[in-house]
Amino acid sequence: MSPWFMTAMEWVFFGYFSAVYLVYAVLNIFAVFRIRRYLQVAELAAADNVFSSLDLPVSVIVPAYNESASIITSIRAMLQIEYPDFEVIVVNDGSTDDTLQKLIDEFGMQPFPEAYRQRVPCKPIRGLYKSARYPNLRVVDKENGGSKADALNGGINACRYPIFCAVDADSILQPDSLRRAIRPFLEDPLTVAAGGTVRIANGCVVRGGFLEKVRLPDNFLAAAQVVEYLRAFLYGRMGWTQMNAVLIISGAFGVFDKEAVVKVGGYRPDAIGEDMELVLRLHEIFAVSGEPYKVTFVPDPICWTDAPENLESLGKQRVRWQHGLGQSLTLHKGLLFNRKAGAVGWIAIPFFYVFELFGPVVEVGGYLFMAVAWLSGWLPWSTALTFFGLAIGLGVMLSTSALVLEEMSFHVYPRLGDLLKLFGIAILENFGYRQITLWWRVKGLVGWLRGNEPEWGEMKRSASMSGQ
Amino acid sequence: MFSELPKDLALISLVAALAVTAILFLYSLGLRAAHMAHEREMERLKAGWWPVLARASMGAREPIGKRRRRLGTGSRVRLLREWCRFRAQIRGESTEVLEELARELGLLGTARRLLRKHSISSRLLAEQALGFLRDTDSWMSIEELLAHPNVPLSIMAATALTHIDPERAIPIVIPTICERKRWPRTQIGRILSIAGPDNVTRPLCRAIESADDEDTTCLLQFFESAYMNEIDSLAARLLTARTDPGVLAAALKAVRGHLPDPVIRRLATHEVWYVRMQAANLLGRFGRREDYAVLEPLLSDTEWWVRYRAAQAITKLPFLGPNALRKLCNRQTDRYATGAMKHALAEAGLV
Repeated sequence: MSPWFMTAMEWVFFGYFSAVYLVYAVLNIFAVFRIRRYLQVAELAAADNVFSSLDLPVSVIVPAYNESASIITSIRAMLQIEYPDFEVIVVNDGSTDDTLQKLIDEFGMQPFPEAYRQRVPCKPIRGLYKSARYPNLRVVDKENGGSKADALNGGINACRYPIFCAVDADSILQPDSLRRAIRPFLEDPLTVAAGGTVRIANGCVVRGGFLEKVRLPDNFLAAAQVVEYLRAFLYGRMGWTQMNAVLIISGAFGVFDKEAVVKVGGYRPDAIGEDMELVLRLHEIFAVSGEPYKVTFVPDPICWTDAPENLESLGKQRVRWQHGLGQSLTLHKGLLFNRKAGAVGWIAIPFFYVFELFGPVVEVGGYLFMAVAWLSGWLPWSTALTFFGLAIGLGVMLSTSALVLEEMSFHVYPRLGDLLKLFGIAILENFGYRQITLWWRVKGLVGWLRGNEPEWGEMKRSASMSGQ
Repeated sequence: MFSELPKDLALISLVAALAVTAILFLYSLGLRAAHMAHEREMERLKAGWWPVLARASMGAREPIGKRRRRLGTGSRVRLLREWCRFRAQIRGESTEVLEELARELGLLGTARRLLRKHSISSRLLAEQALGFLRDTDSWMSIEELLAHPNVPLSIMAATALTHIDPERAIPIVIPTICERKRWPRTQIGRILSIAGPDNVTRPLCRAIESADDEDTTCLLQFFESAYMNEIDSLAARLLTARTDPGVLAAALKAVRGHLPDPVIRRLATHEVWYVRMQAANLLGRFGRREDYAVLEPLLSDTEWWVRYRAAQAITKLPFLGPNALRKLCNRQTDRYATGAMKHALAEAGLV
C-alpha cells in the first residue's frame, strides 16, 4: 500500500474527528450558556405557579396500540397533571387487545356524538367516547393506520385546544411537566413547537404512573443509554436551540401549536421517524415562506421513558432511527443550503447529513481500515492505537462534558456514587457499546438506501415499568 | 515526514482530550461537592429560620438579636430567597410582620446590593424582594429595569413597581404591555390583579381607547382585571366604532351587557369566522328569545367552531326545554348543523 494513500487516509480520519468534535464543542458551549440562562429564572418561574384564566389550555394526545398492560396507570397519572385547563385524548389506534374495553370500564367512557372534523388526514374514526367521571378525558377509537403518526393525526382532529402535547402511552410524566413545557409558548408567541428532555426510567422506582425515586439502571445497555440521552438532550438539543435549529423533538414528549401543525398537514403517516419529519416540515414551510417561528427546547427532565435492555430490541430501535433520519432528511432536502433556511439549512442539516447520517460509515470504515492496515503491516501498531485512542478519548470527553452540564443544572441522579458510575459508563460505553450502535446505524443507513422496511419488534418492559 | 504528522496531531489531540476529560471530571466532582455543601447549608438555614419565618407569616413577632449577627453574606442571600418564598404565599396584615422581620435582619440592604449586581438571578431576587418590601427608594432603579431586554427581569420589574405603588405603576406598566410583545400574558394578568380594579380600570380603558387596532386587541385580553361596567360600555363603543376583526372578536369576548340588534346581526354575519364565533358565544350569554333567529343559521356555518358555539348557545337558551332542543336538532336538514346540535346536546346531558 502506498505511504501517500495511508497518510491521506490518516488525514481523512483525523479531519473527520476534528470536525465532528469541534461542532460538538460549539454546541456544548451554547448549551452551557443556554442552560445557565434558563436556570437563572427557572427557580422564580417555578415559585410563580399561580394559574390564571390566561394560561394556554392544552390537549394531551396519547396514541395507544395494544397498550392494555399499562394504559390505565398511564392515563390515571396523566389525569393528575398539575395544570389548570387540559384534556387528555387517548387515540385507540385499532388495538387488537382489550385496550379500548379497559378504558371504557375503568373511566366510564360513553359513546359521544361529537361533531368530529377531519383537518389532517387519518384512517376513519369508529367512535368517540367521553368519560362520565373525568370531564377532560376522551377516547378516539379509530381504524389502525399502521403508524403512530396516523393515530396522532386522529388526536389532532379531535382535540379542542390551541396547543397539543403528543405523549407516548408508556411515558412517565411529572406532575409539573405540562407547566414547564408550556413556558416557551407563553414566553414567545412565535413558538410553534417545544421539545422536552427525555430521561431513561429503567432502574427508577415508578408507582402509580409517577416517578418516585431516580436510580441508575443495573443493566449495562440501559445505563449506556442514560449517558447517551444526557449527551443528546443536554447539549445536543440545547445547543441547537440557541440557533433555532432544533431538528428533532422526541415522539415521547413534544408540545406543538395546533394551527401550525394543521397548516403543514399534520404528521406524515408513512414516515418512519414521524417526530423528526414533522419538525423538519415545520422548518421548511415556515422558513421558506419567511414567516417568523421558533422551535425550542425545555431542558428540565420532564418525561421518562423505558429504554431497551436487550441487544435485539435496541438494535431494531437504532436501525429504525437511522432509517427515519435518512428518510426525513431526504424528504426535506429542499432545506439543505436553502438561502431562507438560516442555521437549519446551512448548519444543522449539513451536520446531520455528514455526521449523523453518513458519520457511522466513516467511523466504522475507520475502525476497519485501521484494523486491516495494522494487521497487514501497512500501518505501525502505534499509529493504529493512537487513532483508536483518539476516537475513544474524544467520546469519553464528550460524555464527561454532558455529565458536567448535568451537574451544573439538574442533579437528577442524587448520589455521589451515581456520578462516579456515570463516569465509569462514559468510559466503558466506548468499548463495545459504541461500536455495536455504529454498526446498527450503518445497517439502518444501508436498509434505507435499499428501500427496506425497518422492523419494529416487541419491546420487553423493564422492571421499573412492569413492576409499577 | 508527511506520514508522521497526522499521527503526531492525533497523539496531541488524544492527550488534550484526556486532559480535558480529567479536568471536566474533577470539575463535575467539585460541582457535586459544592451542591452538597449548598444543600447542607440550606438544611441548616431552613432548620433555623423556617420556624421564625412561619411564625412571622402568622403575625407573631419574636426577638432575633443574636441570630442576626450569625448571618454571613451568603446566608443572608439564601435567607432572602426563603423570605421571598414565604412572602409570596401570604396576603393581608401578616405581611407587615414579615416585612418588619426582613428589615430587622438587614435583608432590605442585601436586596438593594443585589439589585446592583450584574447577575440576572441576583437582580431578579432583588426586584422580587424590594417589591415585597415596598421599597420606594429603589423605584428609579427598578423602573430602569422595566426597559431591560431580558423578559423575566423586565416583567419582574413591573411586578415590583406594582407592589411598591400600584397607582403610580399601572399607568407606566400598561403602555409597556403593548411594547413588550414577549411578556407572558399570564404574568401580565397577575400584575394587573395585584394592582386591583381600582388602579387598573381607568388607565386600561384610556389606553384601549387611544390604542391602534393591534394594541387594542392585546389590551382587551386583560378586561377581567378591570371593573366590568366600564369595560362593558367601552367594548360596546368599540363594536360600533372599529372594524378590525381582532378588535371586534376581543370586544365581543369582553362585553357583558346588551347590544343593539343591528350590531349583533352585523357581527353574526361578519366575513371573519372568529367574529361570528364570538357573536354566537355572546348571544348564548344573553339568552334572549329574539336572538334565536340569529343563532339558528349559524348552525350551518362553514366553520366548525361557529357551528359548535352556536349549538352551545342554543342549548343554553332558557326558553328552550329539552324536548324543544331535540325537535330543533331533528328538523335540521344540514348534516353539519345536526352534528353540531347533537354534540352540544350530548355535552349538556340531553341525549
